[in-house]
Amino acid sequence: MSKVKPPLQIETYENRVHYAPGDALEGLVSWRFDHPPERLELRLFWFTTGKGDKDVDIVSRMSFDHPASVDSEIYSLTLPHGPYSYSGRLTSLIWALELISKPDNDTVRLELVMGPSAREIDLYQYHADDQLRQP
Amino acid sequence: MMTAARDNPFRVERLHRLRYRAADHDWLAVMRKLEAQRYCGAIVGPHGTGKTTMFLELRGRLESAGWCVRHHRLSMDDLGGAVAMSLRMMDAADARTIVMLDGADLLGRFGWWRVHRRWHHSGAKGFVITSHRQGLLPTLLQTGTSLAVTHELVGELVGERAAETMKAGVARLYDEHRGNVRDVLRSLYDAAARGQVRV
Repeated sequence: MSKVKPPLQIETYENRVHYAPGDALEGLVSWRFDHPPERLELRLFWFTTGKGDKDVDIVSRMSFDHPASVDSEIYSLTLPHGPYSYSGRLTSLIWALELISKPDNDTVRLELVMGPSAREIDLYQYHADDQLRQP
Repeated sequence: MMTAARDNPFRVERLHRLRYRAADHDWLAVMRKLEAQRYCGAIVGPHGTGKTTMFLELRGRLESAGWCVRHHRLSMDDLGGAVAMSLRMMDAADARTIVMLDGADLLGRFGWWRVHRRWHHSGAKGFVITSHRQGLLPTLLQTGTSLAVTHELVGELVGERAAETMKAGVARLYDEHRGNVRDVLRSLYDAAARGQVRV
């Protein structure tokens, strides 16, 4: 049975999802609609998740105006030097790319990791109860 | 093994997706009552009983029905600007606008008096609030919780099988928090973070 392709897709160069601060973030966005959307926007942002209210910051946007109904575009962004992705009990900080079509607000999201040595900070890496975990 | 925040089934964005539910809740009746009250009313209830959930759902329904909804969620952290923000919303409203304030009782007596008075002089068609106490506006809906509803919500968050194993613990938390479902879910977040919830 053939797989139905989603209307929106984000791909990264070499399917990378782990990046170091300041790295180039490049890839391809593609879309497939019955009718052309008004525009598409690619956003690079980070958000927190966990026990408290969400915090979010959009650091880059790219707009594709008057797109065709089916098309793809290369994107090239530069990741900032922070904040780093981290994983904790109360909160985690997650980086992501999101492609949104207007006016219908169809969305696709690709989560990324950005941190030193292209790894997220694990706040409990050396927690005694969980035994020492290898970095 | 402890659960990272991103994987915790009780993390906040999952709670925000929960729909308001009560045994006797009927949206059609609520919308009719709001219309009968000339789009003026208060969602009233104790802490953690779903007022904000109800508020957000009502806002969505009003927007889907074509209303322009100006809304603001008041918080203890920003009471200084709350009255000013509320007055600005009233001033910007017209006959297609319903102004919604979540936490209106935080305005205090004088703040509420100013906002309420401004509403009467504004062009806004409607005014809907949430409050812990009755009397600010005609009651539109009284929120409440039950252990059964709490079990339903937990089931939606962790799956029915896991929820079944947690029933006794959830019942104990419900009693401890005196029916404040928000605090029950926060306690469950902590339990999951410590690895005490298996999903």
